[in-house]
Amino acid sequence: MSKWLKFGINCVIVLGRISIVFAYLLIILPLGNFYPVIKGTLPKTILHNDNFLLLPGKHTVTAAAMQSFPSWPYAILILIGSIILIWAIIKHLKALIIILTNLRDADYFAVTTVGALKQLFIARIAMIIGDLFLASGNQLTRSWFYLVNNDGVMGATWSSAVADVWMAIFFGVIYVAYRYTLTLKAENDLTI
Amino acid sequence: MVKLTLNVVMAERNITSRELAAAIDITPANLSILKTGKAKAIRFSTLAKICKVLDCQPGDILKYIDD
Repeated sequence: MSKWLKFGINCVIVLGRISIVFAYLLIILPLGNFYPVIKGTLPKTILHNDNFLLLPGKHTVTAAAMQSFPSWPYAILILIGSIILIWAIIKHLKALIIILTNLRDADYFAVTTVGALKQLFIARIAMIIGDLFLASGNQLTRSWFYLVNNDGVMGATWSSAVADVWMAIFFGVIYVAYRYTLTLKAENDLTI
Repeated sequence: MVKLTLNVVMAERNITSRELAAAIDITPANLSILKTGKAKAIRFSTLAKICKVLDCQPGDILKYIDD
């Protein structure tokens, strides 16, 4: 392995570790939704939030829609979805660090890599569940206010969940294929 | 299951593991895998070398035991 490639992998590992710290801090963010819910100003907060984009052709939000908006279910759905998603992101980063560390150490057939790939697959499944909660929450703002959440992964829609199903299948196939590869290698190593 | 009875033939021929490993050109670690029964398979070439050095037949070092 070249010196520069090793350096690059080390940089990604360090960035991954820093990202894990920030990801843990992100868990606090969705809790911020509860303050306007308690104050009764969540609909107003959503309407004035720059992350929410108005659907084309829909320009008015009625007072009745603002009053009937289910603030508590929205805040709870977003909180559960966010926590699941952040947990999955942390799992992704931890697995990535394990895989990269093994690559850097030229340990290409490590058992820990299989474990990391399994973690990636589990995290992807969790992401689907998280997406369903977030999509449900975001559907509420879409139905009541015609507003689409555009806040990165937190703006998950139903199609995000479908995309994550495909990603989970993709990661699952890689995990199973690598596990069989490791079994074949172990068998080959024990052929004298 | 098929069991390797290499130890018995080696004892009969009075040959050490190190000597056999060197004669059949495999590492002592791999010979140990063979002797302890951890091996999943044995190549025909390795079997032929063992038979040549120990002056025996494959059947002398391989035994079938009913599970």
